[in-house]
Amino acid sequence: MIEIKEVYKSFGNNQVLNGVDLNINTGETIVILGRSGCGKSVLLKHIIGLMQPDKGQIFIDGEEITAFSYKKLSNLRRKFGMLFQGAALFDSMTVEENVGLGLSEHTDFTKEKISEIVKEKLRMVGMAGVENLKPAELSGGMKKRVGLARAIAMDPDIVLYDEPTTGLDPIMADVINELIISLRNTLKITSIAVTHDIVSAYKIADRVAMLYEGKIIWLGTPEETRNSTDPVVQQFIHGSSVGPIPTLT
Amino acid sequence: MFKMKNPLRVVGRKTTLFFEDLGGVALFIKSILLNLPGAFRRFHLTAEQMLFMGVNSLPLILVTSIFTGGVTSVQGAYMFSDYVPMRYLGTAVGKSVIMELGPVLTALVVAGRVGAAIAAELGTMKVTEQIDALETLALDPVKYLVVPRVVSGLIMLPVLTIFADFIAILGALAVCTTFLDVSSYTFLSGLKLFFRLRDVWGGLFKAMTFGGIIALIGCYQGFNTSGGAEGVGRSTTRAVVLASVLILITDYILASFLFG
Repeated sequence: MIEIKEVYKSFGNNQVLNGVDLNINTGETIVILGRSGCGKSVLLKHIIGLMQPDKGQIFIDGEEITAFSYKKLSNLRRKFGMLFQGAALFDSMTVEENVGLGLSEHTDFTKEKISEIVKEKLRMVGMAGVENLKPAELSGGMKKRVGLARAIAMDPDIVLYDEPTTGLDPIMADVINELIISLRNTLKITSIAVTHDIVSAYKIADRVAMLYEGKIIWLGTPEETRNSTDPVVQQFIHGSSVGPIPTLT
Repeated sequence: MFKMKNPLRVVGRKTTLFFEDLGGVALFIKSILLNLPGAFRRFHLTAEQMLFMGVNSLPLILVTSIFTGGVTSVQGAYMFSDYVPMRYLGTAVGKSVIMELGPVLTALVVAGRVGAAIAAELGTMKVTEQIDALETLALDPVKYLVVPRVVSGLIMLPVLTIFADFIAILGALAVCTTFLDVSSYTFLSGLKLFFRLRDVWGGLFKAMTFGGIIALIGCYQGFNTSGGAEGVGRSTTRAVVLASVLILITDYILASFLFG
């Protein structure tokens, strides 16, 4: 279980997180919606300890990670996998080296065993046969899928998805959505996705949260979200320029 | 209308930024020192950097050193003419190359070539979240990216300097015998005349320090890059300028201690 309690974060004069409270149950998929630049990725980076809050606490399975040393945090991160918005594949490495990096650094597995696991994970994301390619030779959608294979290579308990479908065509976006659902069903992992893609949110989420002005202003199932009477949620899910959300920021 | 900034506020902000940077560098160095023993566990990463910093820099160092040696002998001969016997030309060239020109010019060339490349590569990794990705894989970016580059800088700069010294002296000898009417015997006997091994060690110590500075500044600037492609360009320029200035300042301080 992940508990986020009263988390505040600012950059200079820009208050990005303004008292975020959110509980995420083990095994569920939660989607955090919000406009671009509203602090969704910042929140995700707090959960994995890449950023420290100015104020507030984050608990993972009852342990307060905001008080962790670098070493403890590093050990905790082995429970996590993260898919970055731009995939963040290492340019200098092949696909196989990218996906197998965590395994080669943290396990005593032989090269053959690692190669076998890498092939299996690449097969799971529909990318078999690209092991020897460099990231520069892959399309955007392929990079995302390789990024996903890397995120699940160590069989994590929790996977964080930063804008998993942004920049992809609708068909490729649906392929990624199906992958997220299948990973949840087969590996029983806790998934946290931040996105502004409503279609994706409805498809993959057990619960939908909405981040607005640095706070979680809405939390409910996709069905409840669809029927929400909150004007901010309504404006966002209908993609309307008219409503309480200012369009000029 | 143009609004003048409060000068006190500007000075205050700049001072705060300077001390923030200074603290950042100090923490960065502490982290490197703590991770230094790990450099030998992942020696392949250090070896890759040694190849890039050292072997791939050889052609550039070769050209720079030949002409440095040549110009030192031409200008030395011009200054000595009619006042100092030409047998001291080899002494002057040898001393200036080994103690000063070899280490400093090699470091400045490497700062331009390698320091810029380190800042650009790590800066790009930073803005494309590759450094964050390393952390999410429970890998320490300092251990994985910085330590191999710093160790490589500390080892390869002295090696390149030995090569540069040798080539520069050969260049000087070639110019002396071909254009200056100074025989190779005269030049070489002058070279041996006041030769002290301490000068060589001093020059190599300087080179090692410069190697550390180039890698450290390149990595620090790369790790603190923000703002996309423009930010990468800014970090790269800053890395070269800062490293070059620091090399010259450190050169003076080290020369005062080693040869003062």
